[in-house]
Amino acid sequence: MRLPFLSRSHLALCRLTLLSVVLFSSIIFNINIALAAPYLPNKDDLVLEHLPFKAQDPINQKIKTLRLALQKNPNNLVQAISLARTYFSLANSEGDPRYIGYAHSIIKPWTDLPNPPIDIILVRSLLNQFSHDFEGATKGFKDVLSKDPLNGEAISWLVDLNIVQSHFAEAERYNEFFVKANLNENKIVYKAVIQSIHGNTQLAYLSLSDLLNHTVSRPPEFKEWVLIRLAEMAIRLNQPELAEKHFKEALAIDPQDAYGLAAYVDFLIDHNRFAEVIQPLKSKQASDILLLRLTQASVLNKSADANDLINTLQDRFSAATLRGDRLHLMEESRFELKIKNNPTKALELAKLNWEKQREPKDARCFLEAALAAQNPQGGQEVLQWMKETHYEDPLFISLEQALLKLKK
Amino acid sequence: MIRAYLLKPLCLIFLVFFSSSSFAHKPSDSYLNIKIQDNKLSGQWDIALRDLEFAVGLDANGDGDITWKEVKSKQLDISSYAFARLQLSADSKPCQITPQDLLIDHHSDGSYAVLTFSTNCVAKQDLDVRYTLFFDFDTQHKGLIRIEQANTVSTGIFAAQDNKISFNLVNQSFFRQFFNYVKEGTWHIWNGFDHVLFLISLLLPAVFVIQNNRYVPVRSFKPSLVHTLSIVTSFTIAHSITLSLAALQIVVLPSRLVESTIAFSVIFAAFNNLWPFVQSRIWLVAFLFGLIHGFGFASVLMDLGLKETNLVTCLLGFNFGVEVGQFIIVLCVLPLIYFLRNTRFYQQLFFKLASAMICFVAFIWLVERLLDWRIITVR
Repeated sequence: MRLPFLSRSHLALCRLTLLSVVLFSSIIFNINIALAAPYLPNKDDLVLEHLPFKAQDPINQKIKTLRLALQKNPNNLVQAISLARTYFSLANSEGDPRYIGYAHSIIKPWTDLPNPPIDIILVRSLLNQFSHDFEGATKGFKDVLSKDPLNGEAISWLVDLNIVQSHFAEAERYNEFFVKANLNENKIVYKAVIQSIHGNTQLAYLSLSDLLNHTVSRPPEFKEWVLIRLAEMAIRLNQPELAEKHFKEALAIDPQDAYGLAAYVDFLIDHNRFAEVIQPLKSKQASDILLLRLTQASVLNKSADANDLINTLQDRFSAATLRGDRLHLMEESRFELKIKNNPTKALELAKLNWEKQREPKDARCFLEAALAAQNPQGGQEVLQWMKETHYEDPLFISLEQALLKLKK
Repeated sequence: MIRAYLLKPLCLIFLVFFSSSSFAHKPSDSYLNIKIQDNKLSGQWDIALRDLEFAVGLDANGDGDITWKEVKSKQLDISSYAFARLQLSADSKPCQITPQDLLIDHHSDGSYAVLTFSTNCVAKQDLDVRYTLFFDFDTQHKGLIRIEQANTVSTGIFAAQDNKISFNLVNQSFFRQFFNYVKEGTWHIWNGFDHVLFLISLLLPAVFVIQNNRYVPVRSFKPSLVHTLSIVTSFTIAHSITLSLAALQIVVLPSRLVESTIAFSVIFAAFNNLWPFVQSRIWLVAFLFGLIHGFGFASVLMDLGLKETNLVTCLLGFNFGVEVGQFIIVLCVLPLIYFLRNTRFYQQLFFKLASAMICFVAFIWLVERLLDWRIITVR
């Protein structure tokens, strides 16, 4: 038998090559995760950071006044709640979770008490759901309801939290609470949202547009929100023109609404209209969610700065992992799937995300990852969910069929 | 009235919820890097300008922009504020921290002040760190600490409820970590039947040479040893390459493809014993399939929770462990079959039966893995 003879020196050479391959690749990898080098700026007027507000902006003034008042009288519950809520709304509009930490520390003197006041529990629950502590938030809102059964805010959140987790029976149960609280319009909206996930989109769409047509006195935020829901339902009904019309109407009311914007650009990406995504999102990179969409559109559009965007997004996810809280598993999964072309990891993340969040967009992400990873077993949970809810959406049906085909 | 009053905040809630559940970006973190060289301790602390603005106030002219000049003029305030909230003690003696330079760095969420510092302490046994930066006004803030010693890196996370961490510098030794991974690697070779069976299939004919299309037992040990050595070496090189590439996430393959190909490689090797269509260059077979087995090893290594920081240690240790496991298999199998090589039992029965059985088992694996079925539970 002919055999290649490997002398001792050959062997040594092979081992050496192997070792250098390992070391070299580790060095490359470590450079990637290491921090960029610190430097000494050479210009005094170099702007290092843009703050969200100037010192004289009304919001800054409001916070300052409240903080001073609290300093003088640390026991003033009303002012503490007002300041905490101000921070909470800033966290939402700016997408900066720092404000959540500020709000938590404002209410800390009360949350440390054995029986915190009901308003404090309510605010703490708002903050908890922001940090995706759904269990803690739900417990808090239930607590509020047990003491104040007509608290509309707690009812809304409980319905919402249950829908997000696909606990529909619970969501419907709490939706009935609106009747006693004299908030029937809310009940109609949520009922339509649940109906639409359960295969009655046509009916849901009609009831929502009916509500919109007969509510002249509603504030614009309400209209904007209903319009976004209508747009999503129109997509499920395979009526893209109608969806686009509703998206545009909604964003004309509030162009800053990040949820509406994200839903709209997803719609544009699905219709290969990448260039239209890039412009409005350029200035919105502070939000991970919008940055993901901007990056995806830039990659598909072959834009020059696509690589920079990928790196920034990757750094954000790495920092979150390092910190130990990965709040955006669905987005991370989508990043792995659509941008890094790593379906195995995407599927893993989508699965983890599904344990927590079960909205249609989570389901879609899961199905797409399972399909790309050619793992029909991987998307089983979502197929089951679709069966149970009778979810209707042409895109989902085609994903389901592709997965079933894989199985055969 | 009540309805109208309540509805407005309620509609806001809808917006707020849907935006809040997924639109957050990065929370506040600081990065504290401590280096221990020749038992001496020094460090670098990256703190976000956004956070320092809240704590110390940097935007002197209130225009919403923080310039280098504004940061520089507050250098003293920044470092006295920060270092008052960090206590280090080495081997139970408190350290005195001396602030050095103020630099700037950029992280994914903005610019950071970089405070470098030296200390007067000598750390041999342990290092206790107490960290209380920003916790008084931001309960979500976290401090990410990274301690670098000669060859190892330890990490920790400070949070409002968890502001003290003790690092045992001795326990974190390079060798301890390395040997943990060696153990895991060896263990894996033994638990991963598919790798063992692949190797055994390749080893079984090592005590034969092929003459006139027939297996003839070798006369001396040397050709068997050379045969074995060539197989084991090429298998090792191949799986080390792909193990590294996969562990470093340079190349990632779907696990189903990897697992199925591994099963196929076992069939191939065992079948080749019964029907030797590859007679020379068995080492090439070992090499090519070794590449795929490396991906299989990597998935185990990843499951162990590979830390980015001590990647090289983990990788080398795990790989070394795999070699040790392999070596033990060779040491058990080769002498045994060498002594049995002239017996009819080995030539007619054991060699053929073992190969056929391995082939059969691997075939079931292949079907299972390809179709995602479960036929036999042991794998």
